[in-house]
Amino acid sequence: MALSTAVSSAEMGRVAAAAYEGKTIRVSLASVGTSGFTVNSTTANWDSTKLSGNGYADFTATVATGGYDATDGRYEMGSTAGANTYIDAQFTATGGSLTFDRIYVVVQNGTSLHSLLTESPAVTLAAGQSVTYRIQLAVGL
Amino acid sequence: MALTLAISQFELKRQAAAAFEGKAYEVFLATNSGSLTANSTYSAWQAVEVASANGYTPVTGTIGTGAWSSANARYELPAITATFTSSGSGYSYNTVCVRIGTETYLHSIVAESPSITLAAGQAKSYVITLVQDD
Repeated sequence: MALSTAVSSAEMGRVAAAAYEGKTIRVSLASVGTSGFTVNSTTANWDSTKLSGNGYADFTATVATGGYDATDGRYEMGSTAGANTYIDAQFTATGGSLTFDRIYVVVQNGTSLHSLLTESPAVTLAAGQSVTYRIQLAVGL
Repeated sequence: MALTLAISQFELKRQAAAAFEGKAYEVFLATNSGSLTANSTYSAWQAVEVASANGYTPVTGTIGTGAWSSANARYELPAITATFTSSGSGYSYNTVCVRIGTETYLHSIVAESPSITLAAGQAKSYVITLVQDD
């Protein structure tokens, strides 16, 4: 006797719409230092370690309506409509360098993070240098 | 140079709250001749739902508030236990359909192979656990 489960692609779209579409995404850089903060620390905690000066600015975008990617079997979202789209968060140093080892993502000004990326070793952008983090939000199985 | 990604457990909770908590659900039984899939519409599945006779009735309810499971490292909604009971001359089916809210499409289907026949007095339960995982 076999029992098999299948989730509809429309359900992935429904969850994506409820969780992401139309919401703001903030991407910020920080240095964790000795704070001990983790992915489950609060946004306020992480904001206290956020970079400042030398051209630093948070990156923000609004999540557009995504699309189902049949190849990948998931519903994908970015800053433009459709599947196979992304949020490209670019940061540029000016007038001095920027050093960081954490990239954190916040959805709709939430009190907790969406996610945390760790760079090891830390990254230093000299004045005039840029770095881009490409983020794709997806709902799959 | 290594770049690692972690999703916050609170993000999974946020998603679960947005997508599932407080929403109505319906679990019903159907007989699929083979032409329908998980991506067929709710109305198409309703057209092949088991007839409302011999004790059959769909199971409905509201999804409760979930909790983070440290053991499974995922956010789990309260399990939905859908019990179907037969009386009279019984009934047969081969698919369990799950719908959230009033959506045009189903959340999911569970296919039984071979099909199930519930004789009078028999009952069968399906335990459905909705989760948000990374």
